[in-house]
Amino acid sequence: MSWFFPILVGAATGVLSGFGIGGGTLLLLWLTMVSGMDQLHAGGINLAYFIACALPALWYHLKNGLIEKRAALWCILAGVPACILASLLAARMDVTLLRRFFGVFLLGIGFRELFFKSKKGGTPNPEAVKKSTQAGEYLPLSTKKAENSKK
Amino acid sequence: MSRNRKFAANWKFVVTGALGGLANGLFGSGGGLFLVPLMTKWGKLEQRKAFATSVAVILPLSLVSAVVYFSKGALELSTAWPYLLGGAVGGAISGLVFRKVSLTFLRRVFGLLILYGGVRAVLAL
Repeated sequence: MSWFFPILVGAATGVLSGFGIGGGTLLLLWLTMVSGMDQLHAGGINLAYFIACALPALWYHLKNGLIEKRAALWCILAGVPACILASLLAARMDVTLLRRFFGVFLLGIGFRELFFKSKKGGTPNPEAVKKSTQAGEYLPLSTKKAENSKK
Repeated sequence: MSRNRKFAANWKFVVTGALGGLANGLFGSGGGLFLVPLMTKWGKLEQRKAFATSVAVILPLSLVSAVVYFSKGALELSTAWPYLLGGAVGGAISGLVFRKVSLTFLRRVFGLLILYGGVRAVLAL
C-alpha cells in the first residue's frame, strides 16, 4: 500500500497544478517533509509529475478555449532558451543572493494575490477592459474563441 | 497601427517568457509564479486564461529542466510512478472543473503558495 498515499497526494496537488496555481510546491513539501526525500530526487519526481499532470489538463484547457495561443507561443519561444542558458549559468555560480531577491519579489506578488479585492463574478472588470482599450493595449481574441469552444 | 500594437503585445510575452525561463533555470523552479501576474497586469490577459496559459508555458520549461535532472540520474520510476499516475488523474480533474472554479479561490490559493515560495527563497531554504 506504499503507493496509495502517493497517488492520492499526486491527484490532490495535480488538481492545483492543472489550475496553474502552483500545486507542485505542495507536492515538493510532501516529498521532502513527509517522505523524507532529498531535494534532488524530490525535484526529479516533481518535474516528471508536472508533465504527467499538465498534458491532460492542457487538453481540456485547449478544448475550452482557455489557452491564449499567441501568448503561449511567444513565452515558450523566449522561455526555453532562457531556461537552458540560466541552468548552465546556475551550475557555475552561486545563485543564493539572486534567489533571495527573487523571494522578496514573490512575497510582493503573493500578498497582492492573497489580499486582492474580490470582484463579483468571473468576467473581467469592464472598467479595466475599457481603460486598457483606451490605452491602446492588446486585447485577447477571447470572446471569439470562447464562443467557438462552446460546441 | 494595429500591427504595431500586436508587435508590442508579442514583445511583452517574449519578455514574460524569458523571465519565467530565467527563474526556472536559475532556481530550478518558480518560473511559473512570474507568468500569471505578468500576463494579466502587463499582457492584459484575462485572469482565468492566464492561469491556463501558464500551464502551457511551464510544460516545455519543465521538459527542459527534466532533461537536466534525468541526466543526473535523479529519477527512479519505482518511486515516481504513483505520483505521476495521481498527477495525471488530478490534471484531468482540474481540466474538467476549471471553468467552474471561482477566480477568487484560484487567486487566494495561488497567493498563499507564492508567499510560501517567497519565504523559502528569502531564507534560502
